[in-house]
Amino acid sequence: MADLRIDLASEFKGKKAFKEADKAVSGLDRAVGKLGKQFIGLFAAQKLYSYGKQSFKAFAEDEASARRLATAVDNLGLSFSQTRISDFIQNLEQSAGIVDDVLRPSFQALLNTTGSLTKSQELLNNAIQISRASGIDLATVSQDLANGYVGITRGLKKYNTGLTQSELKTKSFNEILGVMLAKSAGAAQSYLDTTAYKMDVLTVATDNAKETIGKGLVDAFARIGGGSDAKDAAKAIDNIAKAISGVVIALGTAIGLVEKFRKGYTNFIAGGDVNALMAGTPASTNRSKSPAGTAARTAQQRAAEAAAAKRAKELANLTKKQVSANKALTAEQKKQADLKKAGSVFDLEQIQILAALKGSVSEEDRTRLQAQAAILNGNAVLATDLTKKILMAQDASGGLYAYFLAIGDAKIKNPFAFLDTWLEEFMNKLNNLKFPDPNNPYGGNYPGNNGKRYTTSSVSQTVSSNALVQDAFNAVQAFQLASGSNAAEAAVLALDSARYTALGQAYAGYRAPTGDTIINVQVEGSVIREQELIDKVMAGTQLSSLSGSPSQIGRIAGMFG
Amino acid sequence: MPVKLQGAVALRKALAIVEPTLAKETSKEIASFLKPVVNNARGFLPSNEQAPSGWLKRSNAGGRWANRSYDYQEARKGITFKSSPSKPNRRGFVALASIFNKSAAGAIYETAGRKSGITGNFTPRLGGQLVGKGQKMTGRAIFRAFEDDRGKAQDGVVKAIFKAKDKFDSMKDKV
Repeated sequence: MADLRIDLASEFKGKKAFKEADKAVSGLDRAVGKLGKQFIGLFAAQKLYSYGKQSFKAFAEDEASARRLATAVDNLGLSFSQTRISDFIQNLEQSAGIVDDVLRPSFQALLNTTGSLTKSQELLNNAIQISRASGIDLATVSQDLANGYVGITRGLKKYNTGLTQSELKTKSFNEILGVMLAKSAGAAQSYLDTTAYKMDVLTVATDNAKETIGKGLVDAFARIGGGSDAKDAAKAIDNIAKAISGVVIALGTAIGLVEKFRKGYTNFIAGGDVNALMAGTPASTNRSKSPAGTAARTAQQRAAEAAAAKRAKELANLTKKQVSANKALTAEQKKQADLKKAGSVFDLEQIQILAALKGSVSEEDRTRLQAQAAILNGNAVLATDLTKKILMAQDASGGLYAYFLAIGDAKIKNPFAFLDTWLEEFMNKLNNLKFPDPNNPYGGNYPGNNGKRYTTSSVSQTVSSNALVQDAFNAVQAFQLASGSNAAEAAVLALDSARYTALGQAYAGYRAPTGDTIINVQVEGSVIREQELIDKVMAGTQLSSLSGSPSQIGRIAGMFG
Repeated sequence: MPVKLQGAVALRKALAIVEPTLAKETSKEIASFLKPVVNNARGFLPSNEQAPSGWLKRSNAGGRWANRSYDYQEARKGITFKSSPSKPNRRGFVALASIFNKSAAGAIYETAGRKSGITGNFTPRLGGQLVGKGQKMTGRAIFRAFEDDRGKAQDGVVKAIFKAKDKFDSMKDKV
């Protein structure tokens, strides 16, 4: 029987089943732990493999970058300076905290442009300083400086040098670089105190370690290094990397020793150097075994520097020539402008204005004339000022001047808009004009016309087409009759045909009149002027008087005879 | 559902050994909260006259129902309380105080119809009222009384235990 009870308060005390469960869970825990360890081992192996791949990739990229730079150096004839360049890159990487993968392409860009090792090194240091100050990446800054070195200064605009576009074009690269360096002074030094720099140092060290032994071990190295200070960790990583590298080298050496021993043993058995015995004695060339000596390197570098200096000199000369050409062009343009100005003195319109100004004119007219003269001379400031003066004189409230300023403003409506409306209405009225129908002079208003309205063109077209149709019909009928026996009827139809043809042609001509209308007025006799007529009359009277028939003039009566 | 405390059983054991007086006081205090519930539950039991006539004890009774006959006195005695910790149940919990309905007839009266409803010839004749939350906490006697109590007994038990704990702590400090 179920125990009927109410438990008012209770406490969990556990029981055997729980102990069993606990035991089971503990067992499971141990099993899971074991599995976890196995999994961690597997995971670590996978990570190691992955890191190994990354390491290989990083090394391959680094090698390719180094090879590109080496080729560029060789092409510039500085092959003996490879070691110095490599040392320079490595030192800069450590001091500036910039990975060699970034430094090499930047240096290569500068070296290719300048051709000078020392100048490239100097410019790369400058580029780092400018990059630190501007926040623009080193590769871009280096490329811009390389462009600027050969006179392409457009890219330098983004560094906010404070120089104008024309100044950037006219000033020499060294002058612009001086401004840029002055503005970014101390940036590189102050960057060394930032956390970002420390992170950069760590990145460089990590990158180097990755390139050397694989990034997969970096985490472990950081723990070995303490992990509190980035610099210490970086140093630890570097040291461990070097140590591992050393172990690898030692291993290689050991393998080499084994090989050496094998060779020695083989030679001992053979009674001499097996290879020498097989190859024979090579001929001596009397050449140094170390062609990459200091003297050769120095000579090569001197030659390269000289070439670079020559190129720089050429560039400077070119820039100077460009500047002088620009100056000459500007002077020529100024001269042309002066001549134009001088020529304006003989401008007829200006002469008239000046003559008018010398005369006695009102103050308002004087202002207007001065404004016109200013416009002709292209003096915009004076023209504007005088225009304002004129408009203000006409409307002291300034409304007219404001309206003048607002001319061309899209918000102002067209003041002649009413003319557009009027013209539109006028056109409509013209279109609605009707050609009077002789049979229907009232047009559509005539009863029985069914509201039809005839225009000139429609009437002529209808009549013309009807006449032509009738004409064609008659022609067919005439042909049929002529081919038959009714010759008289055919003749009548032919006459009708001629009539209709004429009618059609008449309407067609009416419809499309061509040419101007010429009105000829014919006057019989000769027409003379009034004075000639008077002279003739006077001559006639004189002649009559001389012949004994004097003329009489009665002024009061108004009589002449 | 009962309130879950931790360390109460140990406290009670400690009290019984170290401070028997305090242990007794605590038991008495717990009992003072449980007694009203028990008395109320007893009051819900039907008298022999009210119970179905066929369920009452008969002299010639036999078979499986011979010991299941209802007797008011017996059912009344079956409703009790306990203020000492119980044994752990199957799930490992120990009850610090409990109210029981121990008799067979009392249990039948308590639970009849709470699963299959008030149907058939017997259950509707029992009378009373099934009160409580959920099937297992519903009944006509102790569960109804516990529901009517509105948690006062439970609060009282917990308070009594905490009070004993405080007293025990103060005694320890004095020592």
